[in-house]
Amino acid sequence: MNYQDFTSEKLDVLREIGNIGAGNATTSLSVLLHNDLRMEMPIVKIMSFDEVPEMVGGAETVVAAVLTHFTGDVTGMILFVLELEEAKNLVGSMLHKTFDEGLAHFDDMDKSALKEVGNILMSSYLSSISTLTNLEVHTEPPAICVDMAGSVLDLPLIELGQIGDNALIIDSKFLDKDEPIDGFLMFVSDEESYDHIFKALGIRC
Amino acid sequence: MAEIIKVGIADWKLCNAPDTITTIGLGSCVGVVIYTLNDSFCGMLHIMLPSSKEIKNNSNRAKFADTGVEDMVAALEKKGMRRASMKAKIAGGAKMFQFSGKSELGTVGDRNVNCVKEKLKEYKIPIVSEDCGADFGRTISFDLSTRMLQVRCAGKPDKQI
Repeated sequence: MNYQDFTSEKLDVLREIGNIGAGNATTSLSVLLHNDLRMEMPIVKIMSFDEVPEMVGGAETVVAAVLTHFTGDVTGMILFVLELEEAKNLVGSMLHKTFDEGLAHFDDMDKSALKEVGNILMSSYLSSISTLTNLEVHTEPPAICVDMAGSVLDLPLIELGQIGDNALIIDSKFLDKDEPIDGFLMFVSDEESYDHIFKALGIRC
Repeated sequence: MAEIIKVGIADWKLCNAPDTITTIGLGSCVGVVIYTLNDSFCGMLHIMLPSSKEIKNNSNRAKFADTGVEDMVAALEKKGMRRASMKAKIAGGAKMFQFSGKSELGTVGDRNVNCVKEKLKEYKIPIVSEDCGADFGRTISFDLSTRMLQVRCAGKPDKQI
């Protein structure tokens, strides 16, 4: 499929879904972290595979990524990607600990905390799609990986690679006391699922 | 002045000494270098998926193990490399995410490695060394002066294979 064929109306819809989803997610996360999180208007971008890792500073930048598959009327995968330093700050503020400079060795507890943050964000996002469209979306348990952005992101790209050569990114920026948290949500789905979403919302394909 | 040639995802490139050739952040993807002991050039391929025959959208031939190897070998032969002298080094094919549920995608790394090996076997190109599998990403670069493949991983010492 070719995302380039998406009309601006369709992109607006995806942006709006992103906005609502990320809004719900921000509220959940604020409660969890006991702080005042806010969000920026999400940006919907269509980019080639090589460009995706550039969003977090290049293919060799170490990132933490939480990935969940979802099935139902809408199928695909969703990722929450966070630059390493941001991941350390986030885990640090959740578990009241500090990390050394450089590559952190997250223990199981740290990973579990990050996984939960990702899970909350992604579930909020997916449930807003489900609520808006009345479509069924079931999520599977998430998995986490901390490694070079290029290597972490190649699984979603492989999934996408079976249907095309571009990725649709819904880039939701979060702000912690006006400091941006460098992370984004990446939503990967197939043509049929997008058709279901657009049809459910009364947009002609 | 020697340059560093970068091979993107789902792409292959040729490299002439003294330049070096690299590809960054292999996860489940596999990097393949084909070289000889005599020629002063080589090729590097970065594939994402095993077989072009399983997928409908297969216009980008460099994306697949089978067609990617075919095209790069053809380009190397056109430049004068003899098939019988060709050697290969491969890296990648990791399982980055450990899912608790069922997921066929978790095995794509293994399938990529197997498909590359099958294709190389069909072409009778021996694999001199490999660093495949496990659960971490790799950045590889090949130096024609030593014919060694450097494997870099986040938080681990570099390896020469």
